[in-house]
Amino acid sequence: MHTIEEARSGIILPVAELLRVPRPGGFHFVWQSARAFLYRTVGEQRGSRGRLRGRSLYLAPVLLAVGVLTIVPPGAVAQDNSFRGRVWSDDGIPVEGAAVRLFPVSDTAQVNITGTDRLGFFTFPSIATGAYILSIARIGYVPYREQIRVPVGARTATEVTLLSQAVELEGFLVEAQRSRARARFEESAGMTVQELDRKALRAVPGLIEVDPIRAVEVLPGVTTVSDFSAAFNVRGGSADQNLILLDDVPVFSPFHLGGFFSVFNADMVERAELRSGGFPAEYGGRVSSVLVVESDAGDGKIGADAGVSLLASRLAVKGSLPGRVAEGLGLASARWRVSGRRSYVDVIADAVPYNLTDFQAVFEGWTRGGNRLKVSAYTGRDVVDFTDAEGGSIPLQFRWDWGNDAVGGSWTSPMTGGGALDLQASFSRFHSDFGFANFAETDFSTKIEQATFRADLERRPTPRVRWTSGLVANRLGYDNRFQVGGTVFGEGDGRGWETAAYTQLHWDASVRWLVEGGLRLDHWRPAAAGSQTTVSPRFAIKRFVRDRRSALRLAGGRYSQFVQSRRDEELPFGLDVWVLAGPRAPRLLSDQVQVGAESFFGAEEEWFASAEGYFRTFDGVIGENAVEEPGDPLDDLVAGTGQAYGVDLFLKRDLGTTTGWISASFLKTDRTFPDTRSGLDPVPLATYPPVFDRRFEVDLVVQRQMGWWGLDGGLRFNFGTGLPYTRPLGAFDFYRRRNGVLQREAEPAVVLGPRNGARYPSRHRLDISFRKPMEKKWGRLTPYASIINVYNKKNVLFYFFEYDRTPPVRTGVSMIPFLPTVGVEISFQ
Amino acid sequence: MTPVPPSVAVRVTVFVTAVLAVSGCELTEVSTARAEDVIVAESQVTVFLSADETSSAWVTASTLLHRTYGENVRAVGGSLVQVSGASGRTLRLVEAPLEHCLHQVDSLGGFPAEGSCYLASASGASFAPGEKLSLEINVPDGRVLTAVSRIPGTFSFRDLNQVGGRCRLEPNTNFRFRWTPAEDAWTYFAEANLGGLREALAGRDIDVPDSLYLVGLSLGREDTEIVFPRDFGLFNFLEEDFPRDLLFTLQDEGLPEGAGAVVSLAAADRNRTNWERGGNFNPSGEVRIPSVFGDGTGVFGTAVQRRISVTAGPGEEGELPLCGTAES
Repeated sequence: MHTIEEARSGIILPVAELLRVPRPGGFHFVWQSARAFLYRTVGEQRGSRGRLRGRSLYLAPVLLAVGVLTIVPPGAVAQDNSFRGRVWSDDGIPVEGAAVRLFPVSDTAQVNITGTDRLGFFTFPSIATGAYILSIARIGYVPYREQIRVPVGARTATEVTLLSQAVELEGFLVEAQRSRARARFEESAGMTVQELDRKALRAVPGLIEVDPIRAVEVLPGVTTVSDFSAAFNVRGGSADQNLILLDDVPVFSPFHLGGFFSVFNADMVERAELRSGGFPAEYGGRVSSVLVVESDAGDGKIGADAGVSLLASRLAVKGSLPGRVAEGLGLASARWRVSGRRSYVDVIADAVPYNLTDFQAVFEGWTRGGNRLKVSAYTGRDVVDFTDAEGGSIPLQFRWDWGNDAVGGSWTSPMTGGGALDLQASFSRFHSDFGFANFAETDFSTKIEQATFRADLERRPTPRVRWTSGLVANRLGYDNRFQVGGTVFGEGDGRGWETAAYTQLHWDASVRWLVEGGLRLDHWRPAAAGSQTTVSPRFAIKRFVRDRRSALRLAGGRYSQFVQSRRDEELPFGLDVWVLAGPRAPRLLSDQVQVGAESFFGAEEEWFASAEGYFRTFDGVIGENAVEEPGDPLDDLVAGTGQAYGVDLFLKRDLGTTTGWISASFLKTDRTFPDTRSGLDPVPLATYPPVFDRRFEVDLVVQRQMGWWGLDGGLRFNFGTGLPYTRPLGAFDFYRRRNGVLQREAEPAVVLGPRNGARYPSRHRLDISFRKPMEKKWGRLTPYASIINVYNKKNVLFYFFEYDRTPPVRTGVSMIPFLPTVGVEISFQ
Repeated sequence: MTPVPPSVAVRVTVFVTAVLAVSGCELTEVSTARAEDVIVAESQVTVFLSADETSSAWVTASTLLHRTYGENVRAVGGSLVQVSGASGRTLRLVEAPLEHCLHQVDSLGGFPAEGSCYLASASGASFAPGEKLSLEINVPDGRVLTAVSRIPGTFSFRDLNQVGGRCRLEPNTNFRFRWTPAEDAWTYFAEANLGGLREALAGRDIDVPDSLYLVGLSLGREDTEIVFPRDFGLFNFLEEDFPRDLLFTLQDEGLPEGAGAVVSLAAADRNRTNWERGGNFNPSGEVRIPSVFGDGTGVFGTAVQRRISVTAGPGEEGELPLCGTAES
C-alpha cells in the first residue's frame, strides 16, 4: 500500500480522498470513478499535462466504459519512473526466465517482481523514486543482489551478469515459474495463460509416461472426451481448433497410438503453456487455444536423461558445440539436446505388431551481441503392421503407419531500447497411410503439410509502450484418398497461401491501466477457388487494483481458421483428416469476448486466483454430410455454426511443501448443422450439444514433498458432469439386398433418438503418483510409480443397447480402470 | 535359485498391467432398457431391362415390413402397400410368404427373421425409368408410412459385343464393363454370380466352392466403369467363410477357362444408396439414413437393372462373340 505522501507527488490526492468517503448513489460513484481515472492519468504524465491530456481524453470513452465496472481503491498513486535491464550469463548469452525482484530499501516487504524474457530483458514500467534493492535469481546461477537508486523522472537501465553455479536448487525452478506468471500478469492485458513447467508436468500423475499434452487436461476450461485420447477441447471448441506449437512450429495431430498420448518427449520439454483466450493480434490460424510446448536446449553441459516406462524407453542427450566450432559459426554459445524414444510392445508380444518411434532435437546458439538462433526438429512414426500375420489369425493383412515431421528455425535479434526482431521459417507435416497387403489398389491415406515464413518486430519506443507487428505467410496443402478396388469413396486435395499482417499496441497507460489493441488481416488464397480476407480486431483492457496484486480485465476479438479436421469426435479413437478452406470446406470464424478477475495474495503472494467468463461464436464449423451425392466431389461436408459460454475458476498455490491448484469450469456449448441424418429433403437444421459439452468440471492437483522416504507425491482428482450421446430408441433386423432378395446382416440397425439428447453419468477419478529422487555421484535416479483411477471408478466410455435380448439390456463400457504403472528416470550429469 | 531375467520381469509386469486394463474395461452396469415400437419398411422397386435392348422390360416391387425388437409379434401382416407412379398407374403389393422376400430366414444363430413380405410384379409399361414414385403403407393399427423416389434413368452398355445377353471372355483375363450414365443414379451396384469355378480351377491348391457371389460398386452417376472380376469382391471379403484365396486368384488371373458368370448392373437411386451406406457410428448398431417417414422408418429404393452372361473360353467359329478387348 502506498502512502499519502507518495500520493501527494501527483495531483490525484483530492480524488483519492474523495473516494474514501462512501457515497450513496451508484451513478454518482461511477462518475467520480471516471473522473478519478482521468485526473490520475493526467497526473502521471511528467510535467506536460497539457500535451498529454488530449491523448488521455481520446481514450476516455473506451476506458470510461470499463470504469463503470471497476472500483478505484483509496490510496491510488501515480508512479513516474521506469526501470529496465537485461540479464546476461557469464558466458555472454542472455538469461531467460530469471526472477527479478525490486523492493524499496525502506520497505522490503513491498516487492515488485517480474521475469526476464527470452532475450534477457526485464522492465518495471512504473516505480516510485527512491532507493531499491535489485535481486535476480535463476537456476544454475549465483543469486545477484545490488542496491540501485531511481531518480525522479528517469528511465533507469542496467545490465547484469550472472555467474554460473554448479549446484542447482529446486526452489529456483519455482521462482522462475512464479516470475513468469507475475510478468504475464503485469504485462499481458487480455490473454489467458496457464503454464505447466517441468516440475508441474512431472507432478501430475501421468498415464504410463509424463505427457505434456495430457497434463493440460487439468487446466481450467479444458475438457477431454475420453481417457483413451489425449486430444482436448478448450472452452467449447473442437480439438482441431487448438494450435499446438513445438518451439513455434505447428504440429498437426501430435499423438501416438491413435491419440492415447502425445508425441512430446517430456525430457525435452522446458514447459508447456496453454493460451485459452484473449489472444492478441500476433495469433492466428486457430480459434480456440494455443498450446505452446518449449524445448529445453539444456545448460550446455554434457549430460543425458533416460527413462524406462511400461510402454517405451527414451534417451535424451545434451551438450554444447566445442568452442572453436561455435566461434567458427559466429556464436558465443551453442547448446543442443537430442532425444529418441521407442516402444517395445511388438518386441514383448509378437501378436501386437505395433511400435512407435520418435526423435527430437533442439539447438540454441547465441552471438556475442545477444542474437539467438534456434533450430528444432521432430520426426515420429507409429506403425501397425499385420502384413506378416499368419493366415486365419486376422481376416485382413494390413499395414497402417502415421506420424509427424516438423522442423523450424528462428533468428532473434534484440533491438536497442528493448524489443526484438524475429525471423522464422518452419515446415510441418502429418500423414497417415493404410493399406491392405492383398489389395494393391487400396489407398486410405491422408496428408497435411504447412510451410511457414514469418517476421515479427517488437519495439519499445517508451517504457510504457510496446508495439508489435509482423508478417506471416503459410503455404498449406492436403491430400486425402479413400479408394478401394477402383472405386473412390472419398478424395480431396488442395493447396493455398495464407498470408497475414498484424499490428498490436501494448500500452501501460498508468500504474492501474493496461491497454492493448490490435488488428490482424488474414488473407486466404486457395489454389482452387476465390480468395477470402478476414479483418480481425483485437482488444484487451486490464485494470490493476490492490497495488497491482489484483486485476480486472476485458478482452475480445475475431479469430479465423482455414484448416479443419474431419475427424468424428464422437468416436473415442481416431485420426485427424485435415481439409483446407475452399470449395469443400468453409472458413471458420469465431468472435469471442471474455471478462475476468485475477489476484495474487498471501504473505509471499503464494496464492493466485482467477475467475473468467467468456462467450464465443463459431461460424463455419464442419460436419460430415451423411447424404452426400457420390458423384459430387465437393459436397462431403456441411457447414454449421455454434456458440459456447462459460466460466472458469482457478485457485493456485505455488510455494511451500504442498502446492497445486483447483480449477472449476462451467460450460455450455452447442452446434447447429443441417440434419443430414434425418433423410429429409430438403435437409432441416438441428441444434444439439457436441460430445465435449461437459457442463461442469473440477480438477484438483496437489503436489507435496513427503516427509518420509524423501518422496514427492502427486495427486489429481477430476470430477465432470456427463457428456452427451445419442441414445438408440430401438433396434431392428438390418438387411442388404443380394440377388434381388434381402439378406439379414449379423449386426442390427438402430433407430436413434434426438442427437446427443441423452447424457452419460458424471465421471470422477483419482490418480496418484510418487517419485523418489535419489542423488548419485553420476547424477540422479528417480524411480516413480503412478496409480490411475485409484478406486477403480468405472466411468462410462459409451453405452451399447442390446434390444435383441429379452429383456433388453443397456451395457456400459468403462474407461481406464485401476491402472498402476512404474518407471524410472535417470539423469547423468 | 535362478534369478529372473529382467526381460521376463518386464513381460510379467506388462502382462499383469494388460490384464488389469482389459479386465477393468469389461462390460459394466447392465440394466434394462425400454425399446420403442417402430415399424420398419424395406421397399424396393426395380425396373429390369434386357441386356440387348430386344427383350421387353418388367418391374418388380417388394416390401418387407417388420418392427423393432421387443415386440411379441414383429410381423406386420394385413397392411395395404401400394406404389403409385407420376403417370397415375398404381401397383398394389400382395402379402406373400416371408421366404419370397428373404434369403435364409433361419440363419444367424438360429433365431428366425420375422416380418411380413409384400410383392408385386408387372410389365415394363407400369413404371418407366425416370418416373417419380410414391409409396404408401397403411398398417391395420392405423399407422401410415409414406415415401417418394425417382427411378433412375435408363442406361446401356458401351463397347460390348453380345448376342441375346451373352458374350465371351478370353480365359484368364479381366474385362472392363462400360455403360452410359443413368440420370439421377447415385450408385451402380454390380453383382456377379460365378459358376463352373471348381472344374476350371481343379488341381489348384485353393478352396473352391460350387458358386461364388461377388459384389462390386461404382459411386456417382459418372462412375460408369468396373473391371470384372478384378474390382469385385471387396465387400464380400469380411464375410465369414468367404474363400479369400479364390478371390485373390480371380483378381490376379482373371476368369479361368470354363467358368462363367451372370453380371448384373443396377443403377440405384438416392434412397437406396443412403440406406445401404449408413450414417455415423453408433456402438449399438448400424445407423441408416431413412427415406420412409410418418409412423415408422425404412427405405424406399428404386433401381434400373441390366444383366449379361459371360463365359471364359477360347474363340471358335460359331461360338459367342468376344465381349471386347481384355483389360491389360
